[in-house]
Amino acid sequence: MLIRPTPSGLYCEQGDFYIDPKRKVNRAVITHAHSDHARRGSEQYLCSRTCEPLLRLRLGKNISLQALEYGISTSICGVIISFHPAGHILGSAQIRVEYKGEVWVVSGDYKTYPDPTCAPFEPLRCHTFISECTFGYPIYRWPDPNHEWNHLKKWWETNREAGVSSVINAYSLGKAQRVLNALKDSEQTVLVHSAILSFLPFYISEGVLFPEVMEATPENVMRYRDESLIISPPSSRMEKSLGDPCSWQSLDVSGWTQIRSQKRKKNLPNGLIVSDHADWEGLCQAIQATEAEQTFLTHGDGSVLSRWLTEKGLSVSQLPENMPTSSLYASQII
Amino acid sequence: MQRLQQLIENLDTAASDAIKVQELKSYLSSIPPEDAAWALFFFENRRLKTKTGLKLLKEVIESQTCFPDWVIKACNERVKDTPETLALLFASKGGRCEISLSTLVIQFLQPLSGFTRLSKKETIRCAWEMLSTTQRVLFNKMILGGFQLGAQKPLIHEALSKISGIPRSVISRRLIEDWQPSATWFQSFIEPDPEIDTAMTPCHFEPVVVSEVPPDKSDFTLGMEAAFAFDGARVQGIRRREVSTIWSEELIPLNLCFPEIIRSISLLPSGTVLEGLIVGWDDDHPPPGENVQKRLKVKTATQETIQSAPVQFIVLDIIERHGINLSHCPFAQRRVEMKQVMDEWSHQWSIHGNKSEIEDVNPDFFQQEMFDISTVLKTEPEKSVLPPPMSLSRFFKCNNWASLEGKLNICRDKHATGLLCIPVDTKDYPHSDANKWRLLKPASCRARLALLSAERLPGNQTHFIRFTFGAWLNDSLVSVAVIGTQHSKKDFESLGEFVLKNTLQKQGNNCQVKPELIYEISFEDIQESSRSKSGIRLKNARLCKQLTGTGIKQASTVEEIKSLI
Repeated sequence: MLIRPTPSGLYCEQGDFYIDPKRKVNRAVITHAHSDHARRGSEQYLCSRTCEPLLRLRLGKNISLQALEYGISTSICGVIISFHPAGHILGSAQIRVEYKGEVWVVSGDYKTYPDPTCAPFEPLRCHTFISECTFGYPIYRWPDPNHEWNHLKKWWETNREAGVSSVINAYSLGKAQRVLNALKDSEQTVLVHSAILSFLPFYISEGVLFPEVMEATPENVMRYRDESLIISPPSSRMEKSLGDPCSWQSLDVSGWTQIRSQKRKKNLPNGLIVSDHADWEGLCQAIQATEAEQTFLTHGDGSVLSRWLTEKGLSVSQLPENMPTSSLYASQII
Repeated sequence: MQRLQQLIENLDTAASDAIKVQELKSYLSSIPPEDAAWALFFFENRRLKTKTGLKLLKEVIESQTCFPDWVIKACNERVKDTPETLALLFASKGGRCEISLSTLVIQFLQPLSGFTRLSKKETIRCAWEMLSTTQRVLFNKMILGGFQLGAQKPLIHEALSKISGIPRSVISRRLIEDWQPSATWFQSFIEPDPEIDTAMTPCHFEPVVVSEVPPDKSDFTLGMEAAFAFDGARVQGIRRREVSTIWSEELIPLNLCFPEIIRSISLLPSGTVLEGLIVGWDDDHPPPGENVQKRLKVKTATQETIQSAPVQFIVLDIIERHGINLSHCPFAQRRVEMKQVMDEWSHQWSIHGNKSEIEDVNPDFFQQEMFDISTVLKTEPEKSVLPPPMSLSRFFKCNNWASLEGKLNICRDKHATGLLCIPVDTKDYPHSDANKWRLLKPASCRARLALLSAERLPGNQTHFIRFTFGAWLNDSLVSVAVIGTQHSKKDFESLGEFVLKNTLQKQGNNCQVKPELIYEISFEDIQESSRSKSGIRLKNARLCKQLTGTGIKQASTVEEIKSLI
């Protein structure tokens, strides 16, 4: 068994490295720069070339970090590692691990829809595929992103005409940049939260286009709130600082906003159904495209997806949280 | 459908009722009248007879997507809304459909009832194909029922009132009549008709003055009429211009919830407005308050509902007779007029109304001192054992505080919530509340309870509307009381601050807190509750004071609370 789950994360014993470790380890191989995958404290980091500046911004300039271009491999203790586009955010990668002819691929987070802000997902053939399944239910099917972006533009225009402020809640890395890119032709200035602003130069250096942006300082917000779109991370809930609820409208940009009953229950605002994760079809297609003999699902409830694909003749199961070496070997032998 | 979808999305996130009313007004006034008529049809939770059920819709999903039943079930567990689950599972990417609501109903929904199973499936598939996901959810709810708009009916009626200039109460009353949605109907619906509108309009519900316990006894020294008050709904029963209506205090017409009472009211002389309480009754004591709640929840009470949750309209006052408003007359005069009206009515009832549909009831119950059955009806026992659904309350004359106190002390034994009192003659009470009913409540009990959770106002992270308090049962704290909005803003703010700092877990609008805060809570009675682990719920629970320095272990036990009553 080349890669196994441990309390510290996915571990490759032969190469003595962890993929997206949850704790401090000696050698961390990182799929992408989101904080639930890239954590501080490890001795050495390995990631894709485009992920490097984002990772340094998040984890510190002086971390010990080696970066590889997509498709270029390196060897650690005889284990060959390479990074391949995952289509999730800028610099996101699937990690291909090969040892003595056996190939494993850890997907990290991925999406199969085109996204102009990052390299498109690249299906990889392998023996074993460890796939995310955040949205592993067939109720999650994303509409065409262009349809959602058109809706966003119309919504902003209507609000501007009505003198109402428009606030977009989007994750600071990845989603916010997708929103900005969708508005690249806008003649209006967009106000963005400082957390979002700090990532923009890395996108620009990769050729991603944005409209004119300005930091959403309290002064700028009060001055331009009626014309500008304000983009902020969901945790900041910037709209609450705008006072009278009649004076602003907000939208969440997330796949979770697809379900109305959940949205009502969780008290979420309306949303644009735009996700950086694969939907049901994307997951099914990606898993089938790997032609893997075995697929493990992680990051989410994989019960429906695994049963569905198993009934189609594939070997798919949920990756246990933690599995000792011996039992993994045993399950492989069986 | 696009406008309806937009409305739903806007209502889901509207921050206040005023915005919701504005959205509804803007929607209903901007769409063609035939669409408005159908929108209203679904907003009022009416259902088309499509003879199409969930099973057929699932079959369409299975044939279109190959998803077996276990997938649908698993998805529904996550979504928790079947029409939405089916809408999401359908594989079409669908855009926002331009078809109007009335066209959708006429072309796709109305014909369903006459179609074969196969044609039904094909029609539904075509509609789904054409509609966006949100529109599919709405379409499915039009078939299966459970149309949730995100705005309560009073808000819809308020919006219609703003469009038409007709009072909200009249809008509500008009909507409970039998109507078929069409452009003509909608146009006439929003057209004022002063004569009929006036006949339908309820009189002002004079607020009942709740006297604190212990009350100011000087208010009760002279002649008073008193009656036991029970759990129920305060209503006005109106008979004017051949129109009968029951109005709740919230100005909601209740005709469909209480058809047997409407039948009684229709025998009243025209130009009569009676006020009183609708209470549950049974042949066993006590009158079950939950009967009224059950009836209020149903859209239209069937014969089965009437039998399983029987109720009585207990008349306490007369507001109008022969079309003349009596509310300013002394109660002594009103009492005489009320007696005369009820005598006339009982005569009419004995001729026209006494057709038994409910059997095996015990008329002795009404001969106890709660209801003055003798003034109501003198029917021959062999004709029927059915007590009429309307009766005059029994009044007690109390000339001093001691006699009132005597009655107050037996309230709990009678399962009454208190005593309703009114001065016999206003000249004895020159102040402004002289002609108003007062509610005297028996002294409340007190318990030490721990704050367990709080419910946020939807759309607001920091404003709480309900707090749940608990008591010990074995080794765990279980909920026994919910404190609602009757408290001052200050009380709620200090509780809210505690919740914000001590939230353990959030689920939707509900925040579970560390059980550290102990309050002394007063309550009037204990109700059985199948929804609570404690098995009880404290009635009219109110905050008294925070008990600082009291450990969580000092909170009352469920057994201690039960022993208080």
